[in-house]
Amino acid sequence: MKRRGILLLTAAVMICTALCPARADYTHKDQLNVPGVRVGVSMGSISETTVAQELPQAEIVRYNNVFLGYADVGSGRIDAFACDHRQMEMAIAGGVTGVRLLEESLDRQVEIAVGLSQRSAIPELEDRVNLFIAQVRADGTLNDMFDRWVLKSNDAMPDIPVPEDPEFSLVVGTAGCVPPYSYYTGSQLTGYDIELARRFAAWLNARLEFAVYDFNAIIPAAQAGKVDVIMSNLQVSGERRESFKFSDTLYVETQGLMVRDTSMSGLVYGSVSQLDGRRIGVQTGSSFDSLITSALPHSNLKYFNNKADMVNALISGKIDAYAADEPVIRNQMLQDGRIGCIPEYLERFDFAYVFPVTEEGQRLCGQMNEFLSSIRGDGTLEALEQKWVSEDETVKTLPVISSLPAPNGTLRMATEAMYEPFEYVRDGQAVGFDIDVAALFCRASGYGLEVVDMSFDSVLSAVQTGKCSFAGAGIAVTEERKESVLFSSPNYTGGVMLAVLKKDAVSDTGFWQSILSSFEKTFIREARWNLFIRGVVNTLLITFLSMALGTALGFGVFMLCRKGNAAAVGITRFAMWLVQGMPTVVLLMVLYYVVFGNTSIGGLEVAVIGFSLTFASAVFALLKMGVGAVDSGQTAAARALGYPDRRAFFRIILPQALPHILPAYRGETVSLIKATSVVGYIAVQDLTKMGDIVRSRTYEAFFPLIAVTVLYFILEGILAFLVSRISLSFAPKRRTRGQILKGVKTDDQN
Amino acid sequence: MIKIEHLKKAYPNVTPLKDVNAEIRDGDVISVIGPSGTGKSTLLRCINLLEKPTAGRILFGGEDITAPKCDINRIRQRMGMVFQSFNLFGHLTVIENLMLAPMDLLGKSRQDAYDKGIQLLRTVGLAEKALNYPDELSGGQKQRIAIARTLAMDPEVILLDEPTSALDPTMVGEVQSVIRDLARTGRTMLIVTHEMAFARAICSRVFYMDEGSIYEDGTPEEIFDAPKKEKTRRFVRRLKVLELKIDSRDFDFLGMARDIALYCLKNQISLRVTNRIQLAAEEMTQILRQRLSNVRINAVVAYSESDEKAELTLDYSGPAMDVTGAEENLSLRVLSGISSGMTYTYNEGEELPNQVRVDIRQNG
Ligand SMILES: Nc1ncnc2c1ncn2[C@@H]1O[C@H](COP(=O)(O)OP(=O)(O)OP(=O)(O)O)[C@@H](O)[C@H]1O
Ligand SMILES: [Mg+2]
Repeated sequence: MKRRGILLLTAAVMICTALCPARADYTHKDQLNVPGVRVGVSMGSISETTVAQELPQAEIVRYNNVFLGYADVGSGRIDAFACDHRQMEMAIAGGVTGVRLLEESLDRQVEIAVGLSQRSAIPELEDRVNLFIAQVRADGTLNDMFDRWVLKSNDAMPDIPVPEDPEFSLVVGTAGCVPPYSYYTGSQLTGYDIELARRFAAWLNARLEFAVYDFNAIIPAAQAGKVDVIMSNLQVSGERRESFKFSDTLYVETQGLMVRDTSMSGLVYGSVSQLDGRRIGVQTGSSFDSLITSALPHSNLKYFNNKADMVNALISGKIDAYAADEPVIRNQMLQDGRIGCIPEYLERFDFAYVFPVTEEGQRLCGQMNEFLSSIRGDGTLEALEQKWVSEDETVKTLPVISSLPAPNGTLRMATEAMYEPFEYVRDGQAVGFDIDVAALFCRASGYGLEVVDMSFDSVLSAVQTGKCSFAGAGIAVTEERKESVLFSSPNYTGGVMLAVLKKDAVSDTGFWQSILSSFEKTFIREARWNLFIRGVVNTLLITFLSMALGTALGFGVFMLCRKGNAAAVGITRFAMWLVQGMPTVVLLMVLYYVVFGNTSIGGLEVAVIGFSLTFASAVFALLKMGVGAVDSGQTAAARALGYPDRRAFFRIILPQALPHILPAYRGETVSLIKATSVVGYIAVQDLTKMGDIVRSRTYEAFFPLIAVTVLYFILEGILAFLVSRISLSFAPKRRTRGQILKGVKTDDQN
Repeated sequence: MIKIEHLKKAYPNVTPLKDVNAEIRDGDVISVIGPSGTGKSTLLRCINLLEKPTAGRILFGGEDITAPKCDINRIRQRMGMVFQSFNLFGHLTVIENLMLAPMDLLGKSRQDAYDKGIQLLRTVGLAEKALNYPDELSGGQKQRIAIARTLAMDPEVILLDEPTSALDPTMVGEVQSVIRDLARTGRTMLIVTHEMAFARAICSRVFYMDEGSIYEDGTPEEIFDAPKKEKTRRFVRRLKVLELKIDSRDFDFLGMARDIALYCLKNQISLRVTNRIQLAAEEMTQILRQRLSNVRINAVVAYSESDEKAELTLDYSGPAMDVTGAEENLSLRVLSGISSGMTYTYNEGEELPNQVRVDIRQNG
């Protein structure tokens, strides 16, 4: 009975472990090849097939947008994300937090090439592209470009001449959201692929045009002849080759694996490099400022007189980080749960005692090592560390050095008492961590202790010459010094680190701070609001035109079908079945690639046509409903008075149907504006697409999304308001007596 | 003025009008009466072509309005129609309801239309409602406005289809009095109505519709007081009829008593009268069963709602035989006790030539 209970419990624990996602701290990719592990890939990318081959046990999760994938890794919703190693590196450097890259990558390397449309009007396109690639490879341009854009992240676009008298028009399809290959700075397309396109256009003597597509839509666009070539970090794969032509390889890419970084997950800043350009606190008089200026040249230093102020400044969001010795930070972390530290050292060192390389020195050193290991083992050493780094001077007591019993003689310790908290002078006496440890050692080993204060330059030679038995002066262990003196095991291991806030501890001001900074990145930097304005204009253009055309079309068709004309009704029913049955994206794609595939009609026009059709069918249905809701007696009465059919409809029926229709019409317009968000598929840069473009630059999964949502809400609000105003003007009962009796003289003026 | 020739209207499953012929003269005020579903509304809607006749012709002032080239909208302007359900335009005020068509169709100025509208509203007593919307009015008020709206077009003929039957009894009077006033102006009118007394009071002619045609046509006196045809008589006297056919000696007489009881219950006939009808039927059939060699009797119980009189009529076969004049017997004595009169007639040549009628006594 008992045994069965335990079995059940074990089973329950196992199931729970299996279900709880992303628990493990992955170090090897084999750990990902386990049932129950979820690995994200970008939809339709080569990584999808590579993961299926190399991690067959893992479950594949497909993402439309890599940033959502990164965010899911960070939050533990998936265990790993597979993508171009360099792109993920950039994302982490750019601010994606809570994640790290596995050192191992996937085995398969991916070739990147130019995609070639088979329907391009440019003759011998394939040969020309390959010839061009061979030339720029031979003269080193390709390497230089790769070096600049990809390896050095240098985003300066060189001057490339634009052909004066172009022979062709070259349309280059690109995604615009894969830095460093194809992305936006401000509202300007730039990146490796953009430079390549410009060079190619110049080489070809062609007028260059870019068409920005959603990633999934680029290859169909090339197949339909909407673009001549694709330059967009395009991966070559066997399956793609079956249906699509690629140029020779441009470069090869490694597919890395991103996993959750549990060590620093939860910190506002996960790595030191993210803090470049941020406000960093240091204590006045410490030497950390120079460390910081060399590690983070763009950072903004803030000086504080004491550690407590610095901590408060961090917590209240006045600074983003501060630098301090590791034990100092650890101590503060213990005292305040909101503080964390980035597990990277700005500078790292081991301090140890120095002994002469003599027999006596070796014996003493051995005793010291034994002592150190014993106090390290029982936690005394750490307690001492904490004691000396703490703010409270009163706890920093020393054993009375002069009265140590000295059965085995007295040791002379060389030091320079100028390095708080290791050794410094207080009330005319040398105190500090090194001295404390040494005193305890002497007491334990039966020595007396005499502290000899001298300049640091003399400390080592004092030991070498035997003037002092040993030295303890915050002496860092270096290979060079090891040649002339004997080091004990380190009595102190540490370094300078940066303390930052934990994410969940970001206080209100911090929250607003982060919103502000996201806002700045999303809208202000590189004048990105321009992109949003362009997006809003396109979204509104599509919405308003589709509303106008759709309403007119829906109304016209309704009038044709009103009298039950069999042909008109039949055609309408079929068309509506077709339009309403298709997902909007599919409808747009069919229109763009099939119906208007061979024409010069652009994405914007196709979007307007597509949405006019869907809106027309909605308007038709609304009219049918609204007119149906008007009592048939109204028609009878109008006709009996002598109104012709059409006139009866416009004068009597429609005015009564409109109040039924308009509220739902308003809803339809709001749906319309939301529905337009898919036009990115057909190369229209609407609000949503612009949000994606900006997101690819700010590396923020959500803020641009939320910003776009807010903008949609505003647009919807404005639209709904306008339609409501129209409805009001159609609300007959809101008319005043004056309006009703306009132009009529009444004999009673009541 | 209106001439209807062989008008037929067929719907996919019923043919309410089979062969309607009528001539409506200028100034006629005609009541159209008849049982439900006999095509009265259909007839009215055919006259102004709201329904397209299946066959036949309608002449209006000599013009064939069923002809394809006829401009029916122009004709309709001269033919007003008042509906059972008012059909006021809900999005317009009362005065606009009256002004709209004259302005739109007759080209009247706003001012003229308004003046005429207000004047009409005064005649129907609703001038102060000019700026109200229809849904703010009572049913009776709505119908009065609807009549005024029709009059605003100054039509030559007005067709009214049960103008008061959608109204609460309390509102019927106000609408009837408006129509009564209207009838006195000499305008040609056709009113479908179930209110006999009202019909009789205002009209100059009555069409009784049944069997897909105008079954009987005459003055109110002819139709209401001395209808020529049995169906008309039953209708105007609001007779409720129970027919019983007895064609064998083994007829289920218990069943007959039960049928009579049910029929009486349905028509709310008092218990006493019910008993008398049952008794009369039993005794009569008893007598006839004994006397007739070949038993074929058609018994009809009729009850008039208007004067609450019940009568029992029996037609029977065989040579002339007056059962009332037979020698005294028990049955006859019983019969004379419960009847206020018995008459015998012999109709030569009919299938059942003998007829005896028993008027059932109501009191005493
Ligand atoms: N549009 C129609 N389609 C099919 N059948 C119809 C239609 N209109 C009327 N009918 C049928 O025609 C017959 C006559 O209808 P109508 O309304 O003219 O009768 P009515 O004499 O006016 O009856 P009531 O006194 O109840 O108003 C009815 O059986 C009715 O069901
Ligand atoms: Mg009717």
